[in-house]
Amino acid sequence: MTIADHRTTGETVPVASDPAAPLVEVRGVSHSYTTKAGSREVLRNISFSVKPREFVCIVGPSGVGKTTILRDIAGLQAATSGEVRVAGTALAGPSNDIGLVFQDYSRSLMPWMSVTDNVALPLRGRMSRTERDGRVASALLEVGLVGHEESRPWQLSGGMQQRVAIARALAFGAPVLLMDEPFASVDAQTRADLEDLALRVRNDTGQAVILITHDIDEAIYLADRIVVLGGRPASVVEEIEVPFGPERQQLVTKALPEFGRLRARVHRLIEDASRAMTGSMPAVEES
Amino acid sequence: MTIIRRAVIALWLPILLVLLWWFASASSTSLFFPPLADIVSATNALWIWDHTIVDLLPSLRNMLLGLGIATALGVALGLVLGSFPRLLATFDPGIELFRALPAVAILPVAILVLGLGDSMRVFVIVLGAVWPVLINTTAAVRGIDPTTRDVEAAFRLSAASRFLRVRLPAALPQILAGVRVALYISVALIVVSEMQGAGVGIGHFLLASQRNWAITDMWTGMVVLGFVGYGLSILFRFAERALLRAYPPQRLGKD
Repeated sequence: MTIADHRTTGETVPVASDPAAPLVEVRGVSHSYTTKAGSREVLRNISFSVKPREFVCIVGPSGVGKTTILRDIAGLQAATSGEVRVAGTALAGPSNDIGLVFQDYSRSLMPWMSVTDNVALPLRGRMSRTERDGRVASALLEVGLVGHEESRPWQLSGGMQQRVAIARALAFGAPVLLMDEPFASVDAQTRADLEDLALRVRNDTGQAVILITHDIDEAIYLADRIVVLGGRPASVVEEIEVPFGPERQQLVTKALPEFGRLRARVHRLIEDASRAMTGSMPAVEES
Repeated sequence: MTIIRRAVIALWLPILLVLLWWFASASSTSLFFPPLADIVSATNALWIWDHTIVDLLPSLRNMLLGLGIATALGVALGLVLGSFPRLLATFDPGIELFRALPAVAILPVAILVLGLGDSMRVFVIVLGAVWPVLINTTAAVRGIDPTTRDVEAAFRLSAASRFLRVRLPAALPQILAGVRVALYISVALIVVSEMQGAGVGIGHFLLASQRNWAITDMWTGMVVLGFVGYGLSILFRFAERALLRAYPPQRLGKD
């Protein structure tokens, strides 16, 4: 059983009636932080949208405010102005419609809980035990962790821990998966495996994915559309469609001539963006 | 092999000290420092099992009751105070004030209000033992990683899940360190509280023996207290190991 099967029971991943209607709309989001030195604007008038099943990567030079936009979309903080709408409703805090995968799996998982308990945590008190067990089992199957149910996160490799975090977000059953540089702290081979996992999850479950990364190749390999952020305060420099379809392969896709052209284009955009940013104020955030 | 070596490393000094005591006191005629041999035979006669049943068990019962209440209270309040910084800012000065007050100093008030019964003794233990648990729990909850708080918020965990499934277990290693300190305080306070108006209890036994010039008996009380304290500490260590079994090894409490 996969996550997608749950849709037939109407329990998870509500399908939008109109597949072309945006599932996530970021509308004119600006964000300022108040510091001792005064107010510092990090994001200015960011707007973009994500359709159902769409895989969108947000890239930008380091210090551009990727973490800020992530926290605004996740509802972990309120944008200074503008709004984020998910499935037509404006966010007022974290939403049941967004499953979050954090960058730092070693801190986002509970070390004392088994893999099963970690994945089940968001579902406690929301549904029957039978349904919870079913969701956890299919999420673990989806990410390839069958056989590790009773392990503790600290007994697993980094890549496997991030799979647990992905399974937790999947079991949550939200139509949107939001990932914050999820593969930044694993080795190259594991990273490639996890990238393919993210693509497969989207194809299997039909969830929309928003993935924040600083890695241009990763963004092009994964995304249907790339949102490039730049400037200080940051705004959307460009949105780039990636025409590779849902099925991709590390060696084949990355060897396509179009992949090289896209890489050159995104590189130039980010280079220009960071050149425009140097000399201005130092970054205030980005962990 | 390693077990034998560890036993030797852990035990040579205590054995040496007991032997020193044994031979140094063997020919003692001092009323205050009877020979260890006399203390050992008196301990056998008194504490197997008459006074264990009459005095030690009631003491242990009151002590564990007080420690249990102190732990429950300290953990519950600590979870709340650690979770709400504003609440903590309001209560922190009061906590510091009460903590600075030795629980023994409360004894006269407790006797006036609660009389000389067990409830007074349990009250005094709770009042003395609650602070290390409360302070450790509060600090541990406050120190929970911000990412963990983000997980709670992003997945919209229920209050029950936040407190009981995330914050309590996250704070558990530090809570147990606080309970260990509270255990030592409880042992001290049960002895002191029984020195006033108790008919039974190990504290009563100690003071009564001393007042009746039964000095050897008094010494047996201290030997028994020593073993009880050591035994409780070993039991606690086992409990701690069992409770922290699921945690990463480096987070196990150091002894």
